[in-house]
Amino acid sequence: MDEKTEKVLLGSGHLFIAEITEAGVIPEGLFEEANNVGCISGGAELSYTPTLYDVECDDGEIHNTYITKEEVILKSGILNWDLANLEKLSVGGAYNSANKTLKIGGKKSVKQYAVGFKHEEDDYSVEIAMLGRANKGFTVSFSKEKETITDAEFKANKDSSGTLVTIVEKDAE
Amino acid sequence: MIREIISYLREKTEYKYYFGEANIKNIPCVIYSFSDSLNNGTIRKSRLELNIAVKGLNENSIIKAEEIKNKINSLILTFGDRPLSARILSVEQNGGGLARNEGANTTHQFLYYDIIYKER
Repeated sequence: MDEKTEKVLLGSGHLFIAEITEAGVIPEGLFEEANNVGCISGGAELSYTPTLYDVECDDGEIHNTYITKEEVILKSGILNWDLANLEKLSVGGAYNSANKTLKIGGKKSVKQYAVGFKHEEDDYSVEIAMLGRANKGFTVSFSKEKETITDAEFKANKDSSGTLVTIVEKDAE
Repeated sequence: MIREIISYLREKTEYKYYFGEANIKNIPCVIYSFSDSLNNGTIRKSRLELNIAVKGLNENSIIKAEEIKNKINSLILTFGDRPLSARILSVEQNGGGLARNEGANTTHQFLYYDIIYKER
């Protein structure tokens, strides 16, 4: 079996969320430590769901297939408590770091972010990058038996080249 | 991989670690043993058992054992998805207890850990 098919990924990684400085472009510094949201819990999940339309004859033969819709969702859970992260997970939130206050609601526009996930193995890493927006808001639970983990779910928007998500494998430096 | 954890503890603490059993002369010390609970070729799960042995049966002995326990936990327990090392993905304490050996005049703090690591 060649080396490529021998690779097995195991373990979680780091989640990065960055402000977009140029519309439709993932910033080069997305995977810098300043954009690391902190410790995550429960891993991360990337899903790609295409919706296809088949042009069929009456005899059932498919003449052509078109992609009518594509959806990419990145889910994770953030363990570190940080209101600045909650602002990014709320579609209409505004965080004021001076008085440590997050206000949610009342905004009409939805802010986009660059979102990245990095998984590292001994000799290589996998980086997932996309432009996206918080898809489902968040739920914060305060429990006496379980630590508070904020669910993070981002839906990808196409970048300026029409790409929804980029997955890059890098050899360790 | 358990040896990696014990080596790490030896490096980061001043305590003595012995596999299986220890001579009473070496107390205070940490006696360890382990067993595998799963290995599917990719993931391996092991159970690490630590027995922190300290001299005496009084409250000070319990406090000393507790102090060693806290030090060990602060070093090896993983937080969220953050791994302990490139191969040790998760270390979680799952059980433990306190026992007194009146014959040997020792107090024992038992700790059980579930450890998940990469088999390859």
